[in-house]
Amino acid sequence: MLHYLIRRTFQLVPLLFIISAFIYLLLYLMPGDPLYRMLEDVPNLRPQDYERLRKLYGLDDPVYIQYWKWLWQLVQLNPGYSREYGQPVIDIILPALKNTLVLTITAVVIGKVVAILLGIFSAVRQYSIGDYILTAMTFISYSVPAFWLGLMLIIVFSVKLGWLPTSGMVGTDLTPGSWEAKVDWIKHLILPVSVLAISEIIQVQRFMRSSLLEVLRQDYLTTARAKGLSEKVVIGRHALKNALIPVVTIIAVTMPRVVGGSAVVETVFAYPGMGRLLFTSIMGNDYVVAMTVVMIIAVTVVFFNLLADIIYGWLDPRIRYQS
Amino acid sequence: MAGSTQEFAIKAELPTVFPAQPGYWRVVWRRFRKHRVAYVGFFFFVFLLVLVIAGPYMVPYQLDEVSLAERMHMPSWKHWFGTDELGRDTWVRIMHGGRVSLTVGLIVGISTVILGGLIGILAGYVGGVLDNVLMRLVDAIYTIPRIVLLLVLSKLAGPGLLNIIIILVALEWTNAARLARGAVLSFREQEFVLAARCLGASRWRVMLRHLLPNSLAPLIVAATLDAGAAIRAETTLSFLGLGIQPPTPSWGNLLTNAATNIFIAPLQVFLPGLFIFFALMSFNLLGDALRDALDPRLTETRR
Repeated sequence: MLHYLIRRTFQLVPLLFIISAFIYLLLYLMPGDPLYRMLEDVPNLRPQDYERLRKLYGLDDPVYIQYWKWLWQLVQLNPGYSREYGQPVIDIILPALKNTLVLTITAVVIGKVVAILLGIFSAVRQYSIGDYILTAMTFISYSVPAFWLGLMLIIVFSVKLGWLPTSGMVGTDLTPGSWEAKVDWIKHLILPVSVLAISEIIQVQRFMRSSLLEVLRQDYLTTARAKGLSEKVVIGRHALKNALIPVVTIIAVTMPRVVGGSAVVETVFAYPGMGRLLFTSIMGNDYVVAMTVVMIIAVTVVFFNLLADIIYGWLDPRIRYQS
Repeated sequence: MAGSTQEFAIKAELPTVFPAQPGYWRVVWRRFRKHRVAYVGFFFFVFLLVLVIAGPYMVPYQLDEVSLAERMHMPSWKHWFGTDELGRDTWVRIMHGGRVSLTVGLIVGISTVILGGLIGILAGYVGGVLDNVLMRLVDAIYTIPRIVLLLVLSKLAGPGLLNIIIILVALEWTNAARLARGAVLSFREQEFVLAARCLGASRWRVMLRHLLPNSLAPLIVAATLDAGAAIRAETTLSFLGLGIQPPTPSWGNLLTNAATNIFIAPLQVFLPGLFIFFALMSFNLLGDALRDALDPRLTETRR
């Protein structure tokens, strides 16, 4: 097992290397002069000053040298400065990461728990009216684009009913830390959390259903029933344990979204998280920020893929990794 | 036509204990017709197609006909879907937007499957280093979250219909490639491939004449689902301001435009999204129905 872990971890390094090089190249090719933002307010700039600055920032180096320097700094956890804000990238990313984590963890916990419960219901009551309705609803919601769903919720709950704010994270007229500010903050979270939770439910409910149905067909459950165990124990103790194994793996694979946020949902609700930061930094030519966000997402994707494999082997005794 | 008479002669000698069996495609068609879900999906698709083709001619307005006297009107007999903030007729704009979005969906759906299918068959049949390199490329595209690549590539390529199509094909061929490769790997060692090679068929002939038709079923399903995914991606990008740019309408950018007036005219936000929903729904239903109909393990006629 340890052997397997070490081997897999070392396999990740080239993959991350390729991804970082690929993304760096793409962003390097983007239009826009990195010095433009810095110098647009300098009226009497001479060409030789411009050249001197390019040399100073290493912008006249070939792309692979620039990439190498950037990567070397990133490994030392120094991602550089934002062109747009003139601040260290870390100071921009950390608050965004915190906001996204609040949003996504709430959504994921609610969404996954509801999805698993609904999936169990659908499987236990297969072909019942409730199962049909749930299946139809997940199928229909699968075809609803997230940005439209978000806007529809805004129309119903903000425009028509006036219960919830349309966007942002907190009202500006409230004193921070007060009771009203906290209530307001939760109100701002309700709609984006709902959109994200619904998309979680769509993905996991069907998966849970089919996984449990697969287990329910097996002989050992007949044995359990023959022993005289109640249906509650048969499903709750015996069936569920095995049915949850693939579901847990799927949950691990989808976890990077918790860190990366959702560019679409955060943009619809103007929520200052990682997804929106990714979008605005790409749109605003702030590539140092964009690169860092992308690399954080890439590392979490790769990490959680590995974690999913490990959890799968750990939970399912039929799987043993060769060392 | 020496070949066909020979074939005919062989057929005539077949023992008559086996009744003539309908061909695979006929079975598929029969199963598809019996499928209720298929009907709904097919109905939605044809309905949308007819609407976006004929829709603009059903009303006397031009695509960018501004009428400042009729700004932000609610739906009426004159303007079926109302008007936007410049008094342009929303019906016409949504139907034109649908032309753009459906074109993207259909072109991307078909081209991803052609490109991905060929790459997958090549990788699966040739194997070795080529297979390894191509599949690692597929892995890398899968590993980076789709939205990251969509945002970066569309910013790099700039807006425009052709650019969107190229980007989506460049990202979505991976699905079809995996499916085709999987199918080819299961056929590669079977007798009919060996027979074809023994008869002197070239590698390309084996791939295109023998392996391609046999891996067609999952590819057709993939084309349908990819078309839906392409419409979802295009509308998302256009919604974010990266895809189709105004004044050319697309369901995505109509939604963005209407969202700025969401407090005054929420209906204008509802309608373009409803059409995106119809389009995604029809492709997903069709994909589901085709998956059932094309499944070679279900042979209802062999009884």
